[in-house]
Amino acid sequence: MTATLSASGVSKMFGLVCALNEIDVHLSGGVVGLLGPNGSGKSTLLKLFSGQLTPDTGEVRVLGRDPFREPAVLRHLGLCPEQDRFYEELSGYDFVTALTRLHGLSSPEAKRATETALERVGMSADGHKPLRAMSRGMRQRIKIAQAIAHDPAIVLLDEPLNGADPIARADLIRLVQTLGDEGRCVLVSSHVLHEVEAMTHKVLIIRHGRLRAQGDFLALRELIADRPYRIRVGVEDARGFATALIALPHTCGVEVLTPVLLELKTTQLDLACADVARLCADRRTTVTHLTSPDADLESLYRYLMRDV
Amino acid sequence: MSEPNSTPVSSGSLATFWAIFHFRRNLRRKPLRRAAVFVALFSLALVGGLGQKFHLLPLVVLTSPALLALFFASGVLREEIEDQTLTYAYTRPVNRGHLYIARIVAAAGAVICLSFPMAFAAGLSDDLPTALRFGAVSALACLVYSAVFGLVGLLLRAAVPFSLAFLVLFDAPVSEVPGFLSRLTVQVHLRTLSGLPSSLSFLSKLGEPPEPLVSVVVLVALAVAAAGIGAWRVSTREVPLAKG
Repeated sequence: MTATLSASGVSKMFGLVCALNEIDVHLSGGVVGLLGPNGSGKSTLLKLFSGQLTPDTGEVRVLGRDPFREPAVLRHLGLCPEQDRFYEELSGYDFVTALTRLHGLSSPEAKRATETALERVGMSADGHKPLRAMSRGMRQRIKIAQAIAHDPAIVLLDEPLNGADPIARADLIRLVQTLGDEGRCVLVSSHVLHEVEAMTHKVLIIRHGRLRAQGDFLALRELIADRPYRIRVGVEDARGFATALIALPHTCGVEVLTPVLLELKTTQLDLACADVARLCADRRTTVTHLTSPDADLESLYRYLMRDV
Repeated sequence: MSEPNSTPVSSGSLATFWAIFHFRRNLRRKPLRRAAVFVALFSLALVGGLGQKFHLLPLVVLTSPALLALFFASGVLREEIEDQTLTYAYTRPVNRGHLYIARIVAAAGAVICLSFPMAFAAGLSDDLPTALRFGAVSALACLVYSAVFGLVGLLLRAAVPFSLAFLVLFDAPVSEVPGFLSRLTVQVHLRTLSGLPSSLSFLSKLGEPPEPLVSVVVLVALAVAAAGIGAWRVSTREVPLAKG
């Protein structure tokens, strides 16, 4: 099956700065989070996929075609750029309608599509306001509306939650999930890890222009064998419980933090949680606290961002 | 979701929409609206014979389109690059060269809106055919200069000083020089078509002006070539976009 978005051996230089270095990415349907620190090459990758840039080496394909040399393929793609820039004198509605018409929709079709898109981003009521009078969060939603109004198969979102208030963030996260559930290929660039985690488990992690990891972050976390999971367990008799845990084969270490809290280090998170539950039942004790600071996206991200 | 095989709309018709969109945006701009007020008042004065009385016809018919094109057309793409709005157009299924030509046409349209009434009014103080001729020459001048200065703006960051230097140091003075060299200027062809005499009449007797048909062909070819080169450049090379 042809990947919807594909970059093969792609490198991109800006003068002496290597923005992307031999990147290989192949994406199909669903939501994928694009993660990396500032200057890691996330926006460059999105610009390559959206036909704004052309790679120095390698090839970029959108639905099998070169987006820079064959811009016709861009009718299947919608981009929400990072920058907060618009044709300020227009209303949000006129802005989205004009850009939708530039995708080849007739005037009535573009108006219908705009109304639908504004409704999806929660801007039906405020869409006719001038853009210059809108808040940052509203403008952000207008940018997302222009990216999805023409019903594209591919949606590229560069920091889509910037400036959005908590309620709008939750709505937009749901919208991104829905776009993915509809079978679209959605690539979301963001710094905010817990928001990406709420949208998807599939991630691309870039650092210094190189792809550090690609796939389901839970599966990726399991591959990191040299860094065991930490599980914090709150029990009445932490010392006695630690003695029982140390005997388990997957336990790497146990540290008693307080008389009622211990930290277990294990190579197998699921098995360890099951064993904690079994030991509690055997010892007729109650777990008051159970967390794993290493099982989330942030822990994977921190691991991959460290200097090797 | 849209079907990947659905019939696409041609890039040319999308660019036409974009030209109309930007032409309307240009008309809404404050500098153009302010200039329109001046143009309206000045045109009334020209109808009353101000042009002949103070020898303003060359300025109105030949020079004003060049200056207006310089300020409205030389920054069409750079303005969008600096505003970071070019991303929106460049991620649409339209050939970037067509988008560039659309922006040039939109800028030329706005310049014509200012220049044509003045030239027409200046000619109207003589008779209607003169008014139409002046109007047509002015419109052609707007197209040519918009295409040329648009290309300069695409190639050079300091487009305005360069274009101004081109007008002051080459186009206007060299057009007065008799012989072949003057035919390399835009002004000499516009002067031929408008029928306006050279300001240095003693020099003009030394050489024949170009044929009107030749002048039309040269000016149209220049406009097409300048727009074509600009379109080719933006469609084959990356335009520096916003940082990121």
